Amino acid sequence: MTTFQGFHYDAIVVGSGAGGSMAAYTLTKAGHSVLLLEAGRDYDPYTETPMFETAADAPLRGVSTKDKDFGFYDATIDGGWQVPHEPYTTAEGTDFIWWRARMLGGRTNHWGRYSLRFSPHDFKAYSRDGLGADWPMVYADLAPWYDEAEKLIGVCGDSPNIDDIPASSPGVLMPPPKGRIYELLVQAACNKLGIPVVPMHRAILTRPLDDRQACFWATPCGRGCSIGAAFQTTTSLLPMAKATGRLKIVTNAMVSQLGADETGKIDSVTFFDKTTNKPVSLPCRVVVLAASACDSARILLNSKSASAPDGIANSSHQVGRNLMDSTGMNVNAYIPGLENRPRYNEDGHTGSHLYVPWWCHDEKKRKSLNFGRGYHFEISGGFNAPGMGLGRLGRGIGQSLKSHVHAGYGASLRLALRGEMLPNSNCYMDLDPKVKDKWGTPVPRFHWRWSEQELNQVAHGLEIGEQIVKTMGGRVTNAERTPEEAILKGGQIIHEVGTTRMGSNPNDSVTNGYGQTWDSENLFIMDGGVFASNPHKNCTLTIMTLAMRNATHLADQMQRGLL
Amino acid sequence: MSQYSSPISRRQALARMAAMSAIISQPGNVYPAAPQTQTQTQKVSGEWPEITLSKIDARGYGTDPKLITPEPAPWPRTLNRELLNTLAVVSEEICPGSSAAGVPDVINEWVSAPYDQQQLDRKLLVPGIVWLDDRSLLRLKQPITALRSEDRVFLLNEIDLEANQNPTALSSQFFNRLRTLVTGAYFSSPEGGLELGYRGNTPIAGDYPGPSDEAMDHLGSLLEQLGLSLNPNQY
Repeated sequence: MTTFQGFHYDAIVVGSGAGGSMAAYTLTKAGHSVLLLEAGRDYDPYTETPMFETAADAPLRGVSTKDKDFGFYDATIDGGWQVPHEPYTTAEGTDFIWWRARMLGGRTNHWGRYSLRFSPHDFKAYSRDGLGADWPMVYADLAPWYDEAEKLIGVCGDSPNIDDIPASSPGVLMPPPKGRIYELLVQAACNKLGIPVVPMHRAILTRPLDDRQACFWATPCGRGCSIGAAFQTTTSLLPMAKATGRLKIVTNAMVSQLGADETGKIDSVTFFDKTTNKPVSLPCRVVVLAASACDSARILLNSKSASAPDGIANSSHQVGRNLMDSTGMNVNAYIPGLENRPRYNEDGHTGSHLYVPWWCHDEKKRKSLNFGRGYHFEISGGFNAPGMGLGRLGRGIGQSLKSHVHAGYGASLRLALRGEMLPNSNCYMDLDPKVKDKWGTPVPRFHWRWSEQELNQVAHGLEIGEQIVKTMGGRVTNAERTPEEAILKGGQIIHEVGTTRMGSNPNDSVTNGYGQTWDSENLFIMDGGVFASNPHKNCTLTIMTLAMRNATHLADQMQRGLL
Repeated sequence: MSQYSSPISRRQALARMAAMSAIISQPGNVYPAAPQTQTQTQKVSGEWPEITLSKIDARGYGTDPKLITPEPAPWPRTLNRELLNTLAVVSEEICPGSSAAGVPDVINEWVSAPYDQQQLDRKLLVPGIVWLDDRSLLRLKQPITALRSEDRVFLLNEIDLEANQNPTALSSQFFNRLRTLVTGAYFSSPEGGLELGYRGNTPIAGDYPGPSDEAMDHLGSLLEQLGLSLNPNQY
């Protein structure tokens, strides 16, 4: 009998972020009871989100510190690049950083909400160019699930007939907001260069949906959203799953290990109760791991048994391998033509309304490139809420200084490159042989080296970014960088995926196309770990879409008594 | 300005230079009257002062601070009254309105904070504020707080010019950093935001209205000047 504190459960889900919450939602809606284990504390965005607080209300005007890496108001609790009591290590020569949050809803409380579908060619990229790995599915398998996921979470955008942006079914997307002045200027410059600029797809409600309100065009989404307009699992999937009466959430439950019987079937999940620091072992029928790509891989590698001496689900030795992030690089620009421009409310939904999708998919353009995969540019700038960053505009003193700040406010913008990296044998994680966390569990050790593919891609982005800026009559303020200098660190884009990749062959993948591990039939993985490749289109929408599809499959298997 | 400045005689200033106190380390003591940190006596030379700063070992606000109606930063403020006064009069000349907007308090909170960037700034700003007074005595024979506004402006313009000519000098690094922080602190205040014309942080019902006609006209002129045009399917 699988019960905990009097609650009977059919499945244990580990993690309440994008994948875990979608799994919990889907399973409970299908009639199964779920015990959800979350390593962080309980979190209530309705009462804890600082919606209208200003920089002046915060210590140090809200700037980033080591306690709050993305600024005081960022919706990350007990997390960031370092988590108290939970270190990680890096191999010599590795520059990799790992973002975590220890709160209900995980990183969905603060994520960028950019929600781009993968394209048909993204699923079969290896077949097309011989690089990386194919997915064990085609786009058509996932397309209806993308529609369902987009309808459920609420995504604004449109379908501009560009191969980088597969069309959603009619009526699925909510209308995108109008472009702002600096975005329209980028669009005009790109028109001249033959580069598209189109509405971003973002998990922001521009129309009300169930009990969530439409965006009211104020307050940064990274703080979380107490009206539910910016998607996070704590205002949507988790309350919806709870409403079924079939979800029990246990917070402060830090899963460390799975147990398996001699056939490989998972028979226990062990977590540390962070309020007592004592281990708790639970029996299980079905387990869904969605602790994040690197935490799930860590749990598997730390779960050794007679039948799994190298870690559970690791007969392929692929657990921890194929670690990928998105490439990141910023082109910062100052546009004199935007100086002293007329003020208006430019907050919008506080992310990119327009962006530059990858425009070189066709055969002819691809052949002329010295790198395999594409990227996009996210556009940011505008009349942001004034913060300490305005200090850089100070020149002279007195009224002269004020004139400079007035002129320069809203005249800067940034093109943020987000690109696809290819998996390579130098990028992986394993367990540190010596370092353990507070509860005695070995911690991840990261290994990382960009390949020429990524550096050449960034070199291309540097060149194109500069062309766009010059076409706007502007100047790049961080020019003269080599790709090695310009590329951001591994992990820094917080799109780490691939550590438990899915595939068609048990010898070179950890799960099948449903996230079901080849070695343990009652163990499913539903976070970004299952990605076979990491297209440049931010990973969260696809994590949720896969989790919805695969949890539906799992529910069906359970319903039919196969699991 | 009155909340920061107090009349100070040259004799008092010289006495202070001799004592050359900047900082305290004991938590809980705010704006101490007496010097508590080991410092070196310094002549009025215009050289960068050698000051031993005590380490800030106070706690930060932690990884789970209250975000709605945030509490004041928990660490003790460490600038003494004299330094705060100097900071106030200089901030006011750099960015008029700074005192009324509480900029010196922000800088005090900043240089007292137990975080890496703020500690780096503290190493530059605290000796720098002392250096400013020294510079004032050297050039105009009075502490900077006692100068007439136009003399302070003269002095700061001179320093600004030097900062442009020799940006790597410690005094230049100090002045540039001080100006950056004062500017940022002022324009992120409610007064500064209003002055800048920030229109956001206000809920809007319905669809986002997009740029105003005036803003579009401005863009139109710019595009014409650059020889660019918007896509007919403008978003």
